[in-house]
Amino acid sequence: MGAASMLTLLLTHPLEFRTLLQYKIWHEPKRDITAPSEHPTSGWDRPSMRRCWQFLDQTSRSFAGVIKELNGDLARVVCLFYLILRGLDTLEDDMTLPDEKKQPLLRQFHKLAITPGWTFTESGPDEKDRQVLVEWTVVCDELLLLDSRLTRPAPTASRRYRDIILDITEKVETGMADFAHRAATTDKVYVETVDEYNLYCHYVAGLVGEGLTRLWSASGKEADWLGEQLELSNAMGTMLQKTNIIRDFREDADERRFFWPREIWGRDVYGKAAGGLPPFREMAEMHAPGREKQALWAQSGMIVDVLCYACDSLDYLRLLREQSVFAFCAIPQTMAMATLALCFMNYEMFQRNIKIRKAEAASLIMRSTNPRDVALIFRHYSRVIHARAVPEDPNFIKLSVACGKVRARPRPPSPVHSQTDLRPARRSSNGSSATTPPSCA
Amino acid sequence: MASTPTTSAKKDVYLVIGGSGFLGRHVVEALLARGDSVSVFDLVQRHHDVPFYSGDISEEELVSDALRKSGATCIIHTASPMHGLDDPALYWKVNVDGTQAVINAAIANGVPKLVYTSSAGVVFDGHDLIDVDERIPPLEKAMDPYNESKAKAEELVLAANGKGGLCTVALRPAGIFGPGDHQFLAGLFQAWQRGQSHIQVGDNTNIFDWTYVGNCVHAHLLAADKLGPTSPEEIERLKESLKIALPSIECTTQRHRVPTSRCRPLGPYVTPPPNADEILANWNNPNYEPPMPRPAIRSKFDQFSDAALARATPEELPLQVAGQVFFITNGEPTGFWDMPRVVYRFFDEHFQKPNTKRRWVLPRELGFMLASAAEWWAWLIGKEPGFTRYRVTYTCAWRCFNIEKARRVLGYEPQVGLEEGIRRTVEWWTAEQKKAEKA
Repeated sequence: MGAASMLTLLLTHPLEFRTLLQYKIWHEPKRDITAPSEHPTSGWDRPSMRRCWQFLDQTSRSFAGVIKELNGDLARVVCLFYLILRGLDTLEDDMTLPDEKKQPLLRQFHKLAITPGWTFTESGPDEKDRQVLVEWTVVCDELLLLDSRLTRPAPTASRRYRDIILDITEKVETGMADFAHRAATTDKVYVETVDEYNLYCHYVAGLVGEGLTRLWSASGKEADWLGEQLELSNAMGTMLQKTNIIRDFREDADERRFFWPREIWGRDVYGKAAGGLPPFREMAEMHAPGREKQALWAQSGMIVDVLCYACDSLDYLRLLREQSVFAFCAIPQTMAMATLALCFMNYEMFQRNIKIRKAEAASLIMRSTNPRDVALIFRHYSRVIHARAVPEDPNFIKLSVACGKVRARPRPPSPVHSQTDLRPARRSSNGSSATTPPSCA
Repeated sequence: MASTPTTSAKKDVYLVIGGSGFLGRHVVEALLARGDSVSVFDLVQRHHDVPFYSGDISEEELVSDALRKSGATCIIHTASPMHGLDDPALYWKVNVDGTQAVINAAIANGVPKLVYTSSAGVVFDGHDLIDVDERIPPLEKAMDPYNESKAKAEELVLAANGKGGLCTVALRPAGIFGPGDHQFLAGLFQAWQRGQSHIQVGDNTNIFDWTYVGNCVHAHLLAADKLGPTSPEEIERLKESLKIALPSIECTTQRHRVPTSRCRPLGPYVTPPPNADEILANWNNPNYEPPMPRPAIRSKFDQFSDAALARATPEELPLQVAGQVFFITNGEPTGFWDMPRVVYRFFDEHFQKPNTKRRWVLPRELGFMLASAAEWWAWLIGKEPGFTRYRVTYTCAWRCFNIEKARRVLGYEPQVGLEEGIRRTVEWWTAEQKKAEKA
């Protein structure tokens, strides 16, 4: 942020200015991958890996920071995993590629990715990350080096980073190809059922959660059994994906990409509750004038669906024990909660692309450091969402329960730091149910 | 857990005390529905489908007589005067003396089981209750005469466990509602009729637990079935299962299952994956359990942590039914005012007379002042106050309970979600209104 925009912020949003200033003063990157002492794990001394790090910065705004702060080899491993997924995504999204061409590319990607010399130059000109595929050889070289350049003893088969990454890649690419093929060969424009929507999210995000968790376990930084907690790791990924799918409604709709399931947005009750309107037949109707209420009820139906993953995410985070892994996992999750709170009952979301403000993001990065604070952040946003819910909304009780569950969860125990803002509460004996000030619950 | 055989192979014969009341009647119906033999002991007879014994429970001879005639082997004691009466002596007579009489009669007649309906209110003194479990100590001073008498009765019931072959258990449901309830819905209806449905005391950030009557009944039957000495093997088995997380309660939120790479539908595949049969079979199996079960996350302060279990004496051990208390709720905590708001909304639509006034949120402190004034005014003119400090306290406090003990030990799982429970309740209410109009 430049000086001029900071000055504007000081005048228009002084509190945000304060947060960003504090972020600049207090937030230190946890490691510097370019430092010579880090070269054995970061690979910064190799031109191919250095190019990969550059690609990471170019292709990811939100993940680059947290990936680079992972400890040991994990930063590099996850960077390469990210680039593989970016490559897949670029192929999947590309509307200029006919299905006959796209299908074999997608379905073979786990092999192509490690074929020395393979590159892909035929991406559409609008694909912003096309350069990664053009220069794929650097990624390929690094993938091939992956398990030989480790700072730990040679791993057994199930713990080999490359095998985990390629196994997940194969599953993701197959799912993507299945859905892309159906969209290209049938006239089915929309995702119909919630189960189908969940499956799609599993393919593109839940599996990534599975893969990352297996990487944590393989690195020895997290428990072995964590990699087997598929339901939890899928919930983590799915929560992020579903949040983005909600927030990006307008952008996706304008590009004729439709991810919301009809089983939710096409419900009769939303029309009835909006003054006796018919159910939506097409997703474009959601941003048509006169349908605002109905669109908001559909949006709230989508948001309840995501909130159901919040408790699983908090459980997952409580199982982690390595700080850099924790931050990597927790920050996107708290950002997702903030995004849900931003979107909920906000009709602007149907009109333009909305995002949480920079200062809010900075504050979340600073605060997402331990399970207790993350639980408090989740509680805060649940409360924001709950405060905006109205009984006219057909999802009202569901929302109320989903938010209530997040807020009434057993609290990670901790001493009480501040007595001033506490209203006394009764506790179970033996000190359980540490109380939390209602003001931030 | 629900699949384990119950302690007695022989079917019990039930006497429901307070079987004409709201909860009692639901218990009777549930017992009849599963083909059990039931009798009712109450002051007045309202239904004529089961043997009825009339009487006041504080008269031990009458209770004994009913036990002998009915041949009951399990007493489910749900009787209590309704909450909110200005008659401490009545509460004491029915809840304390009455319960003592029931206990004495049970022991005298060799009845092996007594299930007592206590109340979550016995631990509420106006302070916030946040995720409290059954270890919460009893109150020094109860909130009001009703709760004082309920707490005392609960104490008597638990103390009677093991006396003369009697096993006892007390359930503490929180905020029971459902068809047949003349308190909760009627109160809201009055407020709505007076055009007060836009008034809200407190900011609705306090979380509250409710219990649909059907779930409460379910818990009673489970407690009755499982009541008896618990074998050491059963306790070991329970201890072992404590390591595994319980599933989340999704009655209202209706979350679909989370697909994983090991358990998912096949989707719009072109060629099925190599292990297609297996992953699809897992998906189609509603009881599928992954090879690595999900761990229960506990701190050392948790009631089921190793440390806490090691500290408990054999009698206190929370892994048994006899001599224990259990909080019972829907497991779906919500903001306190959400429930009234939904019901008001229903009245608005039902009578097509929406209250268009803006929602008016009274801060808790202001609510207190107004309630004091109302109580004083009522005292001055000699009327029952409608708006009291107790109600302000109640509506502004957190009251949410940890029901893991009931889920683990009783095998309790809520059967009807909050949303469905409300739907059934207002449906019943509408039918009642129609009947009243015709009459």
